Amino acid sequence: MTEVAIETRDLGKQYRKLWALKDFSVSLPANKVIALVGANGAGKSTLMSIAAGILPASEGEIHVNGRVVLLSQEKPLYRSFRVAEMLAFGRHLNRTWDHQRALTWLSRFDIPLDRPCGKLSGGQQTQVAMAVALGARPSVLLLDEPLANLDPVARRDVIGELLAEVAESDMTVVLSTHVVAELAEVGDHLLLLSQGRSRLDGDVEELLAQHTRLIGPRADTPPIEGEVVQTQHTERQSTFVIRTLLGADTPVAEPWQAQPVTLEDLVLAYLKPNRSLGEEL
Amino acid sequence: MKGLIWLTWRQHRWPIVISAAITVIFFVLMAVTASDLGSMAAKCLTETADQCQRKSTEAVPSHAAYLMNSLVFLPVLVAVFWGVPLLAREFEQRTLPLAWSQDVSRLRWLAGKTAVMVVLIAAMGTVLAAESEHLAHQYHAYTSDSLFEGTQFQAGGWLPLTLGLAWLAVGIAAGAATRRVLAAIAVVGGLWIVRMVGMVKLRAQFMTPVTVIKPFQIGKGDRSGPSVFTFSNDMGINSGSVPFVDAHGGTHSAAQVMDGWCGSADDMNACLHQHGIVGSLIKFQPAARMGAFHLIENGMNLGLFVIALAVAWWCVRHTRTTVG
Repeated sequence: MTEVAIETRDLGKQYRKLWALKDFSVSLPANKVIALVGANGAGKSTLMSIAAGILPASEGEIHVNGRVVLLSQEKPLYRSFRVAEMLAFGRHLNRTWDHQRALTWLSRFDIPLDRPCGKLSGGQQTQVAMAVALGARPSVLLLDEPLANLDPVARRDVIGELLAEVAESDMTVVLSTHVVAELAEVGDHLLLLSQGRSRLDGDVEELLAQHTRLIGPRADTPPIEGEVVQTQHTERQSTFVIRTLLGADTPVAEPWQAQPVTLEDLVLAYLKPNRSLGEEL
Repeated sequence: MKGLIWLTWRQHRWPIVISAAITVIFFVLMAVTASDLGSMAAKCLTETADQCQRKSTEAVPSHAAYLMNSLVFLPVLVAVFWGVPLLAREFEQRTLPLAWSQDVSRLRWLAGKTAVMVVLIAAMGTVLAAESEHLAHQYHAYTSDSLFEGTQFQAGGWLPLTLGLAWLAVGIAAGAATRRVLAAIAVVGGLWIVRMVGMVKLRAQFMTPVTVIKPFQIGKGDRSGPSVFTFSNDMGINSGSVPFVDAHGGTHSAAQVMDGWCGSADDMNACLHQHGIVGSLIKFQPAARMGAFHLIENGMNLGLFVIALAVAWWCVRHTRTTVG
């Protein structure tokens, strides 16, 4: 049986009259990279903050297995602290601290230890924040869109190093993002949020194998049975994204064609059925 | 706790260092001034009253008054430079999510950092309060100004210590409530003015004042009895506008008597006698109450300390560090 990193049952968070999370029940596997996807305001930050213990839930239960560390989008650092002092901060305020791990991360990205954090570039500040987060040796590392201000090359480097850290330890990483394009190379597991609710939750490989895109002549319904996720019509052609047991291997009659979907296609199909493909959420 | 001590020192080391330096400077200045006043008071015992009176205009007593006046204002600087930044600066720089997402909980973080500051302020406050009390006594010995009044009262009875602690907490609470450094400083400044004005009026009413009629000495050798009090260490309540009392117990303002009835009189005593004035009505708090008054005001300061920390605690507990 797969070990669970985070489990929620009927979790809810209400801000005045607005429910940021509602009836949220998921079970996220341990030692995986979990892509937490959703549009702005979907409840990603709220879920992470509750999981990190810095925001109380309004209702329901949440259980996090082991130490949890949250790195938020703002990646706050003490601007007057030198990088080495930020590591000292992590060492002083955490029961468990792996100084070598933090130093190794900084050396990978050539971050000077004696420079005040306020004088580092945005990308360098991200690396310092990551080093402090990793040094705390979390069982669950929650990354709330921390790579948003990195250029694509730097983002790829960070993700690569992060995946290596996951492979070398028993850490679970929950990576929240609304940039669909960066998902393909990251996630083992997908959790898709929409308006405070879980819309799709599962192993990425399995989810991709269960979905297919059907393209054929204009029709109101797809030619095979399954859950219709997305429907798009032109004057002479219809396209359906459906969920079936066999996915793209489902046999379809001519002239219909069954195509596999990418993770990006899948996410967009669930979140914004009428949006153009490739568009950010 | 060791980690929070390190963090508090790292984040607030300049206010700590500067405050320690100010404490040393104040202590030395007060000690030297108190020593000078003590020597001068001792010499006064061997000189005539006139000679001693002339010396009271010398620079040393005014230095002492200046030091005690300055000391009374130090707590507001504690609020501004120690208390306010503790939370307001973290709110402004958005570093609280970082601090509170480590293994130390937000309430423990607040308790730990506050405890470090309280210990440091208590240590500095103890040194300054002890020496200011000494200085106030030497000042009184030389000038005979009441220890129960004005700056001498506020410099004594460990008030500088409890006032420093109270305003440290007020600064923390203001920063927690406003989440902005400048706004918190404005709140602290406003509250300080309210406190300064309010306490002058309130302090005199801690207990019901004693009221006595001080008879006039009309005519040579006509002494109508011994004085029932001295001003040595009393707190005068109506020193600036002492009303006159007639034989029937009626009171008349100084303006009415001195400017109206007897303003142009050649013989003041005769004029007063003619209008039935027998003495002046004096309200005061006797010197024996000074300890109780210090106790009451220290209690108020410690009450403010507790309330302000409770406000800060509540604010931190209910702070949202993320958006949905």
